[in-house]
Amino acid sequence: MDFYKHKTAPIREKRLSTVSAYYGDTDTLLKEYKSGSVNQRIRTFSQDIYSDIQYALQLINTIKDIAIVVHGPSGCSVSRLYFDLAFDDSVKWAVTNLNERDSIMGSDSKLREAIRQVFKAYSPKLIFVITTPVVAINNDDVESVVDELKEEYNIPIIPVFTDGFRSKTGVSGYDVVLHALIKNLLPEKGVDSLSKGNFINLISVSENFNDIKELVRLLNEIGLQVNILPRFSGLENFTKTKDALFSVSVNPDEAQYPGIAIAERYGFHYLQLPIPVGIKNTSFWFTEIAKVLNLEAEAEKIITEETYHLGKYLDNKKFEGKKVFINLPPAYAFGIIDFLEDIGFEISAIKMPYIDIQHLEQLEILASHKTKIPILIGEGQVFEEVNIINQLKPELYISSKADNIIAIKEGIPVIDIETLPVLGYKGVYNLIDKIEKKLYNPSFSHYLSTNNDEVYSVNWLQKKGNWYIKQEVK
Amino acid sequence: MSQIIHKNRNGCALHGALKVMGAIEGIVPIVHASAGCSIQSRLSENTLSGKNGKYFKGWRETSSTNLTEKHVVFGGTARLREQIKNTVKVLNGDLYIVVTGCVPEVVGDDLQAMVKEAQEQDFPVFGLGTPGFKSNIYKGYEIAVSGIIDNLDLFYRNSDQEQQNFVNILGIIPNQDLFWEGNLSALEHIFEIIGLQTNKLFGLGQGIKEWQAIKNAQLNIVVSPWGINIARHLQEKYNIPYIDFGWLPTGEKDTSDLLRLVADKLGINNSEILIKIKKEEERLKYQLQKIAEHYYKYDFQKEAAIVGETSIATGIARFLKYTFGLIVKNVVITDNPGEEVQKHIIESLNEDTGTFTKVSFLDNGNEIDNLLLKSKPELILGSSLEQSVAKALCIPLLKISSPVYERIVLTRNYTGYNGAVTLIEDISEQILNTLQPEKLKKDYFKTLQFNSTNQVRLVSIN
Repeated sequence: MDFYKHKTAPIREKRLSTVSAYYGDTDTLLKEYKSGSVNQRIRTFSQDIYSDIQYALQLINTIKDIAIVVHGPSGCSVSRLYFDLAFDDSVKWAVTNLNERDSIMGSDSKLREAIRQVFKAYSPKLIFVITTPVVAINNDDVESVVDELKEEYNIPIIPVFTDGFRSKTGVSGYDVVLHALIKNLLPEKGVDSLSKGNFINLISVSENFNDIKELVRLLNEIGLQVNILPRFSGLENFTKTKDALFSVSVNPDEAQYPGIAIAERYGFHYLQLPIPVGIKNTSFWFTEIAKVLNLEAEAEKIITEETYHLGKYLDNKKFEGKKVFINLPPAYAFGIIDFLEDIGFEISAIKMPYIDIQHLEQLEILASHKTKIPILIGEGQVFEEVNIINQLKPELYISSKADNIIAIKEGIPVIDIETLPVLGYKGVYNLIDKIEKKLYNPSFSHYLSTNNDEVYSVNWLQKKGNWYIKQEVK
Repeated sequence: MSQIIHKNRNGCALHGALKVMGAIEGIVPIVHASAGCSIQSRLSENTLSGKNGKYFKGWRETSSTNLTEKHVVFGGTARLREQIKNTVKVLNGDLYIVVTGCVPEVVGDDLQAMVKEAQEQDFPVFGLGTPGFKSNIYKGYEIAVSGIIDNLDLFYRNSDQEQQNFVNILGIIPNQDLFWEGNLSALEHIFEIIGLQTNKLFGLGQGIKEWQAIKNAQLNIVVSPWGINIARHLQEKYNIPYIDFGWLPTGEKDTSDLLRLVADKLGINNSEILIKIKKEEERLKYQLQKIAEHYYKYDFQKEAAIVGETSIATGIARFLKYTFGLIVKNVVITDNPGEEVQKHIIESLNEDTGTFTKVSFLDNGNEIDNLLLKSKPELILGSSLEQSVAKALCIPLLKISSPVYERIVLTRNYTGYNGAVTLIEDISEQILNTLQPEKLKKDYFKTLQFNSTNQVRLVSIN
């Protein structure tokens, strides 16, 4: 990948033919991908979506000893409040608070002042500068300010070139941060690269803490240490990266971009595996890693024990024919679908914020199902979901990021995995436990569903769900 | 040059406008902006303002053009046309309002032309410019409220010009005021005491009809600096007088003052009303008398610092200082009111010659933290952002202003006579929670015994 010579990451649409608007069957989408020219669609009516800025902030929030400067009008920084208070209030941050005059006269002096202030006030080891739409449109010079102060303060100051409009899908924001981290923090291949440690790089981008803890537990069981990055990492984790045995993905959709870059820079292997969610995928993930190190027998022992207990746990559980609506990012969606089908669930429909060229294999599996599963691609866009849910009447709804009010309104119990650890073997217990509770006592969602919701027009609810998804005219 | 803000707690004009529109039945905002703009508002609103976020009539998700690079280069006007046309088809509503973010403003999209086109098709649509780089959340509130008042006539004619027996409440910003819904109900309850109806404008059952009725009110009551311009505008346009009370009343002094002021202005100040007010005052005193024993036993008379917007911080500070006897050392006002208002707040928090209350006007989280750390209060009333300081000082924090993460607020409020009781209940819980349990004290002495052979170290117990 020579992407890293560039100022910032390519958008997902270009790199992976990512689609963020589609509703229909899996066959059509698969055919388009296979023909080599997937049609970009757009919505002629749309509801609000996340931009790369929120994705970027979410990732950066977990990195240690940092300060953040949001470079833009004050409003561009308020989602920081959410990450600050909901996850970690030790991250220091400021906004340049650009006003009309700054947007005309240029904003570099304010950026310089903001960086100076956070450096003086908090002595961070690392400063991130998050750019915003106004700065991007005005083409304000961020790099030269950063370069100048980097030298003066002798710490990394990393510009993250988010802009809110380049990509149609917010997840590009992860790539923008990852690009910046690799460009600025990963040391060039050193001469001491022969001093290999007994650890692997575990590439985590968006997972929650307990999920990573579970995966680390498994790897530790076979005597393997991990270097987790970039999530929950500090500067030392980046320095250590080059001494790893190899790198492994947690979520392949997110880990691929840095995974390949690290592999190319240091000449070692990047192992990309399906996300370890559910029993099969977890065992596969674990085995594949063990294989590389000739630790298969050790892993096998642990897998046998874990799956034995899980098998007993799942023994009397009956989920046959229960209909579930899945609204998750692709890696999670495909993994959880696989697991839920194994224990008897029927998938009534799938919604994902995006899909891309990496998912053809999984699409193929879905396309081979006897009953066609409708697939809706798009972040947010609850209006389309309501339209679909109205017709499908699922009994359970699994989502993340709380896009779920509408399922509550329809009287369907909801499982939100944003804070529920679902990875590894422990994740299976967590997920099953939640599913059982929701199905056992759905009284609150039933109670709420009596609330008459008049938001969407009858006219719309009677239309086909893909009415506002059209081919993009170039 | 506008200042750099650390730990910024205030959104932009677009967010202020969306908060207004999210709390009125039948109003559907159409956001013309790049992706993320309305999510910024939603993230800070749903989770950080008592979690009672935009749930109104079910919609949280907002119609939005989500402008992309193409629109930045070639303009987004056509995209807006399409979005307006389809929003009226998908979302039920009585009034559709286009609000703009920074991108279309910089690019120069023709908002008014698109709105005019829609109006020609008889759709009830109008547009308001609310780019974040031009103004803040409080201005956004003003723009939205005056915008709705001024444009409503275009679509909904109201022949009835009779003045009726009610007042409008101006200055409460839904979801920026953590307790907005409770505060409005509390004010409604207070004015009932003197036989007045209240036009709340926001919340359950508040839609186009209530907004049409604004011009028939007898009086406007302004409870924050951000309602004054609207009140002046209504006076000029419809000849409605107003009372600028400045903040929300908490406790006997301010609530009774407000009631007497209103009664005076409306000429209903008779002995019967004075008796009713007296009765409410006695009820409040009865409740506060009940805790007197604990007030002294556990020393409730703390040195307090209060951080929040004018509307919430000033009234609470006055009650705690003038009635509850706290030593209110610092009040930090976070919504940047104008100079005149600032002077008024300082004066009303230093009416007696006794303890001096320092009033600061800051929105910079770092400066607020430093001020609190330096002044070392024993109790903070503020937002979740003050948590780190409260932790560092090992003192209780009662969350009364946005942003708040750890608290669910549905109908709770600290307004009026009853609100004062609720406030004291909440503060007491915070203070009692920090008392050292007897068990820990025993453990302390145990440690001392164990160490008795060594040099006894003095360990401070907090």
